[in-house]
Amino acid sequence: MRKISNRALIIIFLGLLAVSAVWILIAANIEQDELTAEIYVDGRLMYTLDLSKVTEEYTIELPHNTVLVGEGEISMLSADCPDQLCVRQGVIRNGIQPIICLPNRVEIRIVKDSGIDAVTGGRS
Amino acid sequence: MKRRLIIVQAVALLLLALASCSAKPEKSKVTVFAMDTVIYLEAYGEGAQAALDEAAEKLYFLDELLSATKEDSEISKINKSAGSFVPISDEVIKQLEAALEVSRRSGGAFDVSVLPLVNLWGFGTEGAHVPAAEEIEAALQYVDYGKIGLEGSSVRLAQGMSITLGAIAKGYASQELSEMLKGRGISSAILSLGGNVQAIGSKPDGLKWRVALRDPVSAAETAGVFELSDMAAVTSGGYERYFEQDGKVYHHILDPKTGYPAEGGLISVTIVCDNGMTADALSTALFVLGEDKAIEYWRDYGGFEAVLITDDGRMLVTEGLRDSFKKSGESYSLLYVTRNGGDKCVKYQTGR
Repeated sequence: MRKISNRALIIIFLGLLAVSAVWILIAANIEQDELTAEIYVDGRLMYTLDLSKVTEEYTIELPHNTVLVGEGEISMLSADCPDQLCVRQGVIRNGIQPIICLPNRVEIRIVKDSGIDAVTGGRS
Repeated sequence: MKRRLIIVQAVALLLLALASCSAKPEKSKVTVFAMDTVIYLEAYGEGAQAALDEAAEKLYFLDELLSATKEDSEISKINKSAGSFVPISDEVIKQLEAALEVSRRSGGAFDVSVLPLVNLWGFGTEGAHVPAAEEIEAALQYVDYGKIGLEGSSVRLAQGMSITLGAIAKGYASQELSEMLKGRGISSAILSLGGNVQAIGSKPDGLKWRVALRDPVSAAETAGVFELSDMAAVTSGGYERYFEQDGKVYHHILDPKTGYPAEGGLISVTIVCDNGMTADALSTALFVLGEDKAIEYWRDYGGFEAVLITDDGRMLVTEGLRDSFKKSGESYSLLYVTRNGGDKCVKYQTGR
């Protein structure tokens, strides 16, 4: 028992490393498959949607806006605001730029860890 | 026996490493609709939530104070009293002083008295349109930062003039919030005021904050990423607020000299500076100045770094950002701007 060779130790250690590496990869992949969108009205979270599980497009009616939800993407279908910036922005598929309807205080954002903490060059 | 101990230790270390992936310090966040934009505040550590709630209150207060469209704001009072002196708050004094300095240095490319023109064009309203040349000519008479009289804690505008702090107020707010949060012992936070980003300290894990630069042409892409700590990054671009008339696009950044949208060949200007207010004013100033004069400004005055994206697909990065800015994608060709660019033939250095 006393004689566990260095080689055996190294093999055990490498084995453990491999197992943990696989585990981390699996965990990372699971996170990637999820694509969660959040809809806020006046700063309050109203809807949380998993966009990866959408099979058929549908709409969500808000007091002044209509949101179109599709597989892996989301957009503002219509809004009663004068500038229509949110409608013009089209679909978003990642967390880089949220859709914001400023006049109606509606925000659609995709929550995904893209390694980005903030974005400059949004509204100026 | 010793070896078995080593194995046990190794396994324990591995478990610890895995566990630490999920054990992040608690994040507090607040979303605020104010100052004509959406504002995200995010902070870590003890007391962060209370500090952010206080920050949100301060934003609402500043919104009421600084808005050029709210009837009761201090700015509206100054504008209504054009021709006579009006006592003003420290908040407004600070911004006017900073604004006037950028105005002087930029030869009027930045000018808070641009409001008569902004109203004429009607950006962001249903009535946005190209004004008649005579109307612009008439409004231009009242655009002149040199006629803003700042004495002690009072200000006087010449008759007919009106000011807006729209191109500096968000930067001022982010700078004030940053100082307030640091005063509350917050050492890790990131503030985003409609694209004005202010990084406080570093991330809780000690790494720098990763701030993406939005691609001015395709909104869902990033043109690059900054790695920042204790630094503000502010972008001005003509791509967000604009309207179309007779097939031509008119963006909202007006040249105070011509009365028309600035046409300096730039589509996005980002300033990185340790002061958010300065960064905000400079991003507009350099956008209006255009490529050559913007670079001249940076060489003359310094104190900040910049990323300029031109309408012909070049990305000009000042050399101080070599290590903290990485371009993403292949949409733009990167060139470094160096301090001693006296030789006109070697204007830029090719980047990778």
